[in-house]
Amino acid sequence: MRRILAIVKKEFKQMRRQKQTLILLFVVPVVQLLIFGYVLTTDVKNIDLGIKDSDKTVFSRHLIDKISNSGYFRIKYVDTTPRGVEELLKKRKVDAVLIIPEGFMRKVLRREGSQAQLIVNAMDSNIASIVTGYIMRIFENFVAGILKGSAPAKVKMIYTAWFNPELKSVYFMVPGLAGLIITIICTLLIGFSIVREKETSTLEQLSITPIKPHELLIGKMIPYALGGFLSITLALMVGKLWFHVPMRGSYLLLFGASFLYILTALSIGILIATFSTSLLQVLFLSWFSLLFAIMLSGLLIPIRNMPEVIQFLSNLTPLKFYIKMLREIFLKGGGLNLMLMDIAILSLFAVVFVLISSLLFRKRLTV
Amino acid sequence: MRKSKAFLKKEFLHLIRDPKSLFLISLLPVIMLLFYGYVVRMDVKNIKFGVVNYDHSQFFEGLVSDMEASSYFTREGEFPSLKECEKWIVKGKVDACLIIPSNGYKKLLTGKDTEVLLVLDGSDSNLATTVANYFHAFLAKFNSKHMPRGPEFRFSVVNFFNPELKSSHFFVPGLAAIFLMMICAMLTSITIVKEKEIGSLKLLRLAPVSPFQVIVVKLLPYLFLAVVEASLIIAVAELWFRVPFRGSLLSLGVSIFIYMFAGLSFGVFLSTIASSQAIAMILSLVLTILPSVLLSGFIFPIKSMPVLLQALTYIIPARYFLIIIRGIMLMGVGFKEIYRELVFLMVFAIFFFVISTFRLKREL
Repeated sequence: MRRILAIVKKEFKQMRRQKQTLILLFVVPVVQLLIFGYVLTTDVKNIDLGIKDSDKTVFSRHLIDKISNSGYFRIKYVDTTPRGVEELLKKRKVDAVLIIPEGFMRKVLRREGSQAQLIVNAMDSNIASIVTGYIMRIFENFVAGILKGSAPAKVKMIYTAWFNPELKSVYFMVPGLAGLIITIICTLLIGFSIVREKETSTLEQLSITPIKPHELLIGKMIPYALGGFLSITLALMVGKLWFHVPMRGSYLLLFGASFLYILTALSIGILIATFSTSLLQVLFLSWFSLLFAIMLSGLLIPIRNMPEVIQFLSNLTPLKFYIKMLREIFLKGGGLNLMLMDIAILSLFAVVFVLISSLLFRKRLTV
Repeated sequence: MRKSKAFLKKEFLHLIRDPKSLFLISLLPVIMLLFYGYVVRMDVKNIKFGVVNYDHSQFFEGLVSDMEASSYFTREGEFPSLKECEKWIVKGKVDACLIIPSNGYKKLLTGKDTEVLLVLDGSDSNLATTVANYFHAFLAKFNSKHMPRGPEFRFSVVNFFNPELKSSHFFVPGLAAIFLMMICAMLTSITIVKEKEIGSLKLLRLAPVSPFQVIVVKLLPYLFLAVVEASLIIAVAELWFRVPFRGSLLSLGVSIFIYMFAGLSFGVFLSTIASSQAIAMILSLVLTILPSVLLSGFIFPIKSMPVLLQALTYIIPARYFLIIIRGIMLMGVGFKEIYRELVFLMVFAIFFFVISTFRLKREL
């Protein structure tokens, strides 16, 4: 115990001396969350919509007002034929063009089956379908409004979105980003600290002291685990106070899950350091494991759309389960009963990685 | 000229003598493209929904089975009450719950609209938006089918450049932009710094070559490597992912060349400020790869970002290259639509090339 404390003390001292570590612990989580929280949004805004209004009635002008008041579009009046639209799209003057033909509203009022046309630059299929949805909804509401009671009865939709009524994507992103930040910090910092000792041969010196390998590992893990807790607390404070992400679940559960995940991330860092002989190698390996985690954890890209083989592979990233839990705790306020499975998996990851990394570490140290 | 030639030969020999890393460098991006080309998909399929039907009429049964028949929705179950369905939403077993009010059909018969309620799991906001859109489009179709006198108006939507709305057509060319940047900037900066560490760069001081020659000759093998890389990536995009190619190969070739030149000169620049390989790696990650992924419009639309960050995207080469490669491949644009982007990349490349030459001169 005393020996572990000695290592902890030494690590803290080294941490304090190294400015980069402190920056990584205190500044990076806040800055990353602030920037990413704004950048990583799938909300669609400021669509440049070209409108060709050949109808030119009070009604069509009213409709265009509705579109521009919806807040999604920047309207540019264009005078073009459907063929000329291609040129406009190619030159990136507009993202979509709405063509309201002559006599459209008159035909609508008389129910003669008029037709409006929307031409979308569908390169980004996601944006294209969202834009189409927005415009269609505005059109239908408008037509229903001017026809008032005289329209035939139909099935209409109203919707509510639970847990996030305004459908803000930042609520979805912030818990995920917190998970990513803690991965970067825990994995990199402990990896660096071990490899640095390897490079300066102090690790060999430690191995001839009475300190046992597991004591050394525990002593190394404690300060960085505390650092991990610190940075996740910082990240979550930014999320709550700056982005106003609701926190509906229990803090106990949040920190419990974080504990398991921090343990896993630290072990991965140790594992990487065991295999590396230089700082560069640690960086390379961490970068690849990070890339894998970012892409497959569901942080940015929905896992459900991936081919089944890749969906299966995604189960190999502990980050996936941690992010899932963070989102559930934050947004859904889910309790322990909902997350038993995820907790079990995360614990399994933690145990397996701690075992593997400590075994390999010991082998390297004693050989 | 002869001196440069001898020098160039030495550089190529360096490259060839290390077949392991040569293999890794040329195949890794292709493997990554194959892998991530499947991973990055933002469109939604198989939306799981639950139904609470208080109406029980044939009409609404028909609505639900129509919904199931469309390829987007999968019915997970029918629930006696909203309370039951709520549990499934919280557990994440369904994405949405459709609630059909009692006497809904009777209301329709009396000529009044019936409102069905769609309860969405908003914890994934992107998914929820998409589901609401899909359901809305579905209802519009359903209504027009059942309208006695036909719909008041029709809406025709033309999806230009990507009629099947395949998201791989959008993301695969995007991945090319990121991988090329990774090779050009990261690889050159790390290897040049390595020579600095070994001290072989200092030896060049004794050789009768100018810093300008040093840079050009150091870049050429990597340029060659990157050209091979780019062709491989484009081949995979074309033959495997079947991304359309509507523009001219010439304009794409020229653009890729300029983009790589920009990446390589920035890589050399990084190597002149980094003191160790690890620092070169961190710098190239933070200054080139992260911005190329996040601030280029690769996944996240630039237009939705706050103005300040939008301004920042103007200095990111990948932003321009994405416009170019997507424009050429998907929209079939030519030089006249993309010359401004090309000019910027050129300026960027020359700027960092000149700066690195000066810095190297001082060092040598």
